[in-house]
Amino acid sequence: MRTLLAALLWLTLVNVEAGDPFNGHRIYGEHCLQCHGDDGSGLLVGIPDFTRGEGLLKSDLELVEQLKRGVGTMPAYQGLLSENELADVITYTRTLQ
Amino acid sequence: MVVKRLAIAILLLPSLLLNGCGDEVKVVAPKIGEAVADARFVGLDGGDTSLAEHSGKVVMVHFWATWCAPCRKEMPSLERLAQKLDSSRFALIGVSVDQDINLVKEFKLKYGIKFANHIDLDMDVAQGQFGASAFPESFLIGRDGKLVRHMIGEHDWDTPAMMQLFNDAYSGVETRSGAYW
Repeated sequence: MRTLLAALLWLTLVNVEAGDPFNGHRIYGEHCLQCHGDDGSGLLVGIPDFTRGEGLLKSDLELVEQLKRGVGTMPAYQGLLSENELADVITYTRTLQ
Repeated sequence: MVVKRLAIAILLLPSLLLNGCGDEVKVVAPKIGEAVADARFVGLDGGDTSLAEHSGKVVMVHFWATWCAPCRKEMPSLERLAQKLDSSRFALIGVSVDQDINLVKEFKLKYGIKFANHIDLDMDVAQGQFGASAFPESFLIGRDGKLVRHMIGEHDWDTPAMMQLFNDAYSGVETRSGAYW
């Protein structure tokens, strides 16, 4: 019983904390791909190259705040994507390196 | 036994609630060339308006927020555009999605923003009717009520190319302005 309870607790925590790269891939295709490109290398001048880790050397919390408020020419996603969805897309973006 | 079942239920509850949050209804944004449904906008100081009231004009609906960095940056050029546009042919409808109406009023005063602005506290119009996917986001609607351009992100609004885009939209011709959107 203790093992079962521990497993349930772990699953609950994982739901809250971890980004889902598969959902992140879907969101990336919908909101990011047009400017950042399929492989994340950036299609326009001044856009960070995710394949080299540019713009990603920050904590997930900092990146979520950036995405919520927008930065440079990147628009703001506050209220349109949830924090969990933003975490998902950050998790996916980190896999492009 | 009852205590164990209760413990399991308590542990499962957050997980079930969080999983349920993902089932949101997605609204599809108006498409280029298709008619945009009428929408009503609540004025910051009671001056409500609607798309129907501007029938026959080229209308740009611009969604923004004070917390959005690109929105703040482009606002001066948007104000200059508003001053340049002939109000008998064009209408610029600013719509803030801020949740504090006073912040929007303070922002307008501080930066001298005079064009008509409105408030969409719960994003009912931005998301519910226009399916906004990021801010700033603008919808340029032709005199026939059909969507001409859908622009996302920061723009330089008072360039000659952008003015040509607006004039071409009024004339109903395919633009070659070179303005990006």
